[in-house]
Amino acid sequence: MTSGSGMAACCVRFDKVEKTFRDFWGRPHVRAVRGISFTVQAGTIFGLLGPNGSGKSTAMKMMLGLLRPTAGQIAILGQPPDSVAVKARVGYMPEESALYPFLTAEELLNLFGQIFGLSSDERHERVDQLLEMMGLHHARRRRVGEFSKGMMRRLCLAQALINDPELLLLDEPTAGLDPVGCRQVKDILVALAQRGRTVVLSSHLLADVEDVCDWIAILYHGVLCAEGRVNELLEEREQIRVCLPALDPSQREAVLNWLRQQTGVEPVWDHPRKDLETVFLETIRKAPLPSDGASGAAVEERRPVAPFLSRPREPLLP
Amino acid sequence: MRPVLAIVRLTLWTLLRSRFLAVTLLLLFGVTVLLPFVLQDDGTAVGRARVWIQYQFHSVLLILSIAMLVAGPGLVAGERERRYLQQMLVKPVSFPAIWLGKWLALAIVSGGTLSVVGVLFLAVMRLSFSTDRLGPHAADVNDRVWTVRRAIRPERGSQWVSPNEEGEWCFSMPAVPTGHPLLLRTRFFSAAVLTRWTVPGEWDIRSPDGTLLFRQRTDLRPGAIQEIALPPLDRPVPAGRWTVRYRNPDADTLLFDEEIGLTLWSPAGGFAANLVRAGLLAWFRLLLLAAAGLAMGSLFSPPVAVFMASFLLALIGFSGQIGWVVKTGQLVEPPHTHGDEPVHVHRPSPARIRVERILLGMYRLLYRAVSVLHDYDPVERTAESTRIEVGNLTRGWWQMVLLRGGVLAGLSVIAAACREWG
Repeated sequence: MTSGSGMAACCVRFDKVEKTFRDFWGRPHVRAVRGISFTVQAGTIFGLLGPNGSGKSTAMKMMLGLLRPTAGQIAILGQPPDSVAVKARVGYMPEESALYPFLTAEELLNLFGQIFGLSSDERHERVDQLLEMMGLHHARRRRVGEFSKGMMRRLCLAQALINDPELLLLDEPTAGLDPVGCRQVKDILVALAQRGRTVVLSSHLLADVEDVCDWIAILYHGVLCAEGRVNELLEEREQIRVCLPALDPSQREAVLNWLRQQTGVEPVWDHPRKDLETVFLETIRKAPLPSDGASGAAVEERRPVAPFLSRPREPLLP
Repeated sequence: MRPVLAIVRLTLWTLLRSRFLAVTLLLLFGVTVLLPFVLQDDGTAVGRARVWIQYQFHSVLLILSIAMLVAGPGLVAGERERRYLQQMLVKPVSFPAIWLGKWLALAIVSGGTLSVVGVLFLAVMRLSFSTDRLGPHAADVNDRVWTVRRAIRPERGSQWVSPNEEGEWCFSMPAVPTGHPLLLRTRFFSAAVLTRWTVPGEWDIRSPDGTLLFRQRTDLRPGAIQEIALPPLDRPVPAGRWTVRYRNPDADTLLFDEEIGLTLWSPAGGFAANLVRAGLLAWFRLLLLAAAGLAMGSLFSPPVAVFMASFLLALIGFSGQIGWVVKTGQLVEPPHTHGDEPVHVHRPSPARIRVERILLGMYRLLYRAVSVLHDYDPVERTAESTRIEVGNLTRGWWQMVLLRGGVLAGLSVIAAACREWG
């Protein structure tokens, strides 16, 4: 199964990958992943879906070289996942924000920038832009240990972007974020994909995946149960929906009668609903700010993507 | 190199902000400044100075050894448990680079604290043992503490001296200039120790042409290390063979210590320079312990790593006893017998012999693990004002840091390569 046409550049390739965890005595204990194969095309947002314990995080850790597959092969950007050269081109946001609590947000991003070999000027520029983009500029000198969970998640995403990665791997990226944070993260992911970056995310929050992903794969008990383009998987080709402005009762009855005569079936009608996220964001936008300033992450619905991430990038291959 | 430097900085921050460094420095300050107030000595200025040096240096080294051994498991196994290491390993930095960064940070911390404590220690010593304070004892302290000496061992010499006989030792000496103060150091054993405090004797030292350089009667305590200061020479003596004779007028045979025996000690520099060299030896030891701590952290989970580090520390603490067992081949010291008490020879059972053999093998293994720390111990040499040679430093660097430290680093890397970081 492949995401995209056969000729498309492939960022991630799983080939009959299995992962069995063993106990202390080396006996097979848990088969977390059972012979899954898929590829992720460059420039897309690929979602790994599945309930808890379905093997999403295991698959993600194998992509990062933290776990070794028991069988099968994995290629990331055309190379083995544990290669240091590959890691320089990948960004990773873990499910649990394991960040040094005694460092400030600025120090932490600087540290990771240094590990990626960025020059001092470039590092400082990127740190400023990322903190601004994630709404953490006001907390830049605050220790990470004092951050709320949401702020921690934002910082975790910021550190994953410090190297302007070609491939971004996100494990439950919106877990622990408020709706505003979720929206911001999703906007950032879409913007990055539009600029040629590839995103692989794992989540069990179906609405989030539906919102941003081009392609999805559904895992269950370590088996790849379904994979395909989101629109193709969700579309119900047997039905159509027609949207009209509000009609008065007589007009509405006339339209429904016409539809009954033409199709021979009873049409269903209702008022379209706004989604809760839209209503929530509108409410927040209208609410006045407290006079003593905000302690958490700054809430602005739309934030521009950091300029250094805005450069369009050709989907790269090794 | 940049990622390694980043890890070094990060580790230094970790140690600083976790208050690890603050607590260590506080303890070291207490040891350097406050410990002298509770120490007891033999009442002489030289004895007091040596007790100070020995106990303070030992305590400083012990605190820093614990610090190095305990920091390692926290920095590797602890960070692995908290998933900080995984976060680092998905970045373009390999485990060996992370290990090296952490080790270098521990090297900076141990080197820095040793330097600060060394300067503080020297200042306290200089103040406490200044000429103004010591008065008439100043010359003695200057000669035997502030002057560092190099040992000249005899080419051949007696191992025991029978009653009313003479022992003879020959030394191949370099040219000795006028005013050069030499020191004779010896230790012997005698049955007289059971009935008397000291035994009498007479020393006779002659230059290569047979001229008498020194003659003195002494009353020395058997079993203790004795130092006899030779008066400065009134004329230069060319290089050649010196003869030292000891006449034993006592009724008991004297048995000279195999290790110390009889040595001549020639001045070879000042105390401060020797303290720097001792500090370097101590630093090499700490670098090895830091590598051991990091290796424990790489090999085991946090509680097991801390347990293993504590076990290693205990092993170092008991290295003297372990060394005694290995050298004598006896697991327990035989009971002392007095004069006419009959000596019971107990023949052990074959099973017990087998168990003892296994235990002795284990002791030998344990001694091999820690003997290097014993061999390059800087404390005794500093306390006895024995010069630490540059050759000793290079051998210590090779043996402790490069060889054993390298093996521990290799073990850590192999453990990390076999490990999954889920």
